[in-house]
Amino acid sequence: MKKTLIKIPPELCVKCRGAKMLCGLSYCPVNITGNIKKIYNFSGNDISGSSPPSIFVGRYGYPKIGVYPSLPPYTGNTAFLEDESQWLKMNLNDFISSRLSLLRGKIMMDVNSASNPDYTLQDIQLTSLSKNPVNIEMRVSKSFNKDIILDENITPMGPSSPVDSISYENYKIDNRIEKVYYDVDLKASDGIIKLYMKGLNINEISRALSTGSLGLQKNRKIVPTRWSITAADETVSNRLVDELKDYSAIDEFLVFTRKTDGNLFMGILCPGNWMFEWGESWFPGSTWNYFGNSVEIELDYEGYYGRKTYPEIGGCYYSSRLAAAEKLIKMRKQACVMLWREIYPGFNIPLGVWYVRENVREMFNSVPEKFSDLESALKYLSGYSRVPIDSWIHRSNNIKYIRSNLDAY
Amino acid sequence: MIMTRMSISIKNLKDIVDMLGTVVTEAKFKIGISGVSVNAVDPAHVAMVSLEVPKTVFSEYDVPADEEISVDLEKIRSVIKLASSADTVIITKDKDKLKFEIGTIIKSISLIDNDQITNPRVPQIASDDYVVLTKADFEKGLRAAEDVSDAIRLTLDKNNFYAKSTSDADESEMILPKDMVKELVCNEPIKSSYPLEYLLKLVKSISSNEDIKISFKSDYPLTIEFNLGSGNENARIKGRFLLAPRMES
Repeated sequence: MKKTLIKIPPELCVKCRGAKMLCGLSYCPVNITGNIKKIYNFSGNDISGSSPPSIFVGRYGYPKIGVYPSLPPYTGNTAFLEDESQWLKMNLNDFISSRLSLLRGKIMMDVNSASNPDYTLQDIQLTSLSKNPVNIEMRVSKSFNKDIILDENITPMGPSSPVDSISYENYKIDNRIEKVYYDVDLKASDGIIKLYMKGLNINEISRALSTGSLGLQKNRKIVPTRWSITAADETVSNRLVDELKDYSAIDEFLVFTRKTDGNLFMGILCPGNWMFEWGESWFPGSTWNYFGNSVEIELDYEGYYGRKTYPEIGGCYYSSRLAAAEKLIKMRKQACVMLWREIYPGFNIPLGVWYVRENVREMFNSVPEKFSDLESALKYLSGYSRVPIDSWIHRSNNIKYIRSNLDAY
Repeated sequence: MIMTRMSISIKNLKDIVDMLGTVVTEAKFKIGISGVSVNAVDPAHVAMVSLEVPKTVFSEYDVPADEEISVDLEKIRSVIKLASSADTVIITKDKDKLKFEIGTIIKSISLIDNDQITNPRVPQIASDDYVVLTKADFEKGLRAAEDVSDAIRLTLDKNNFYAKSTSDADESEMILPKDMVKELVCNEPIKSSYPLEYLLKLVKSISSNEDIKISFKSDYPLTIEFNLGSGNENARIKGRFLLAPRMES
């Protein structure tokens, strides 16, 4: 757990024993380490277990990269490990420890091999598309190294080791995916949309994309997991945004808020055409402001016609954009959308972009406060945000636009 | 009982509906003794369209008293679709319905409660500096900017009118010297940015060979004055379009 190692005064842990969160973190390192030790209770280099299914694809060495069929060292119904709709319902300790129990067996492959997959890759593809957990027996060449994955974009994963031999049993390909997998004349982006329309979640779609199971035969490629998640979020949200632009604008200001461990999510839907912004403010002592003394606000945005460059803020931009577009599609409306997130000290572990997507989705399921003007909406939000609301206003792109109206003349 | 009754060419009616449609989906018309007027502002209060339709635009105009009529523009569009542009339509108000007669077709649409549409506040805007040019020339500059940015910066000085857009990667600019426009009056150089999308929608609803008058100040709302419809000078629809500036950070 070298990446999460933090100096916590030992007397605190003795008093707290994982119950009181005295260290101020959003999770308990002692608990997580203990949980994982329990799960990793196996010896030798042979692992057998039920993969949810779970496949990780690395990006180092591109185009020769590691493909990692992953499984916890036990059998049973492990589907929850890959079901993004369940993750928010778990507490952070359980979530992190269960995800870190996914042991990754590394197989090196060329990304282009997906255009003509050999049996090894076909097995991996069919496993990645399975609707049931797949039993895997795996022999690795050395003990698992400590290289766990805790990343801004990727959902946490356990340690890895090179695969000597691997066998799979009982995969049942999801019939919603089957047609798309065997349709070698369907472009990857159309495949992504098709799967989304059939009700697959982003995690499942990105998994299919990452194992090179979508797209025109000759163009099929294995895709690093981090890229495949963003590609799914971006492709689906692009389609939804195109669609929602046909709807009329909302006629009042709607404000949503959601508090989670160490996070505050805020959303304002304003009357007007589609516009979008995603802002994050990192407090000192939070994941990406570990060494700072002041709050850092990072924000990216798009106007009605969209962006032409990749947002610097990263993949979470498209995850939050997807959640916003889904909300508007459900309302059959368009709006100018601001989404702001505050990350407080103690939330210093990256969990992946799903955390943004699912929290924003959940936030939009709540009942909004309604206002007739922006200023009242902002005043209401100032009761929630720890960042001075003026800092958000100053950083916001949409507010500049909304305030550029005729009311002042 | 005398009812409000008027006849208007389909071409003129379509121009009115299309123009209002650039900012709203429902509108409240003020029907007066001397003509019809309407003010409409978009939900974000960024753009306003004001139209004056003098009674000379109508071939028949019987208005016994001032009144207000609120309608869903989409419903009028569905009536217009039934006619050809050379047709004339007779419009009669009958209680809470508006009756349209086009040749052999009679169609009634229900009105919207007047209280449901607020009367927009008309901003007080005036500027001494302006340029008069054809809609087609202005539109060229907007089209050039369309794929560059969502805002356009207009600049006016003694000798030229500029319309410029920039993004991180691309840039577009139209420069019209004084001798290529109909009229240009400017004392001090002025510049201001405006959202492109609204301008594009607006110009689409004006005929290509129309002259438009554009006036503004630095970081100040834009005013575009234009005429709509066919007919001689005193039987034209007069329009005014106001657009809030895009403040640059």
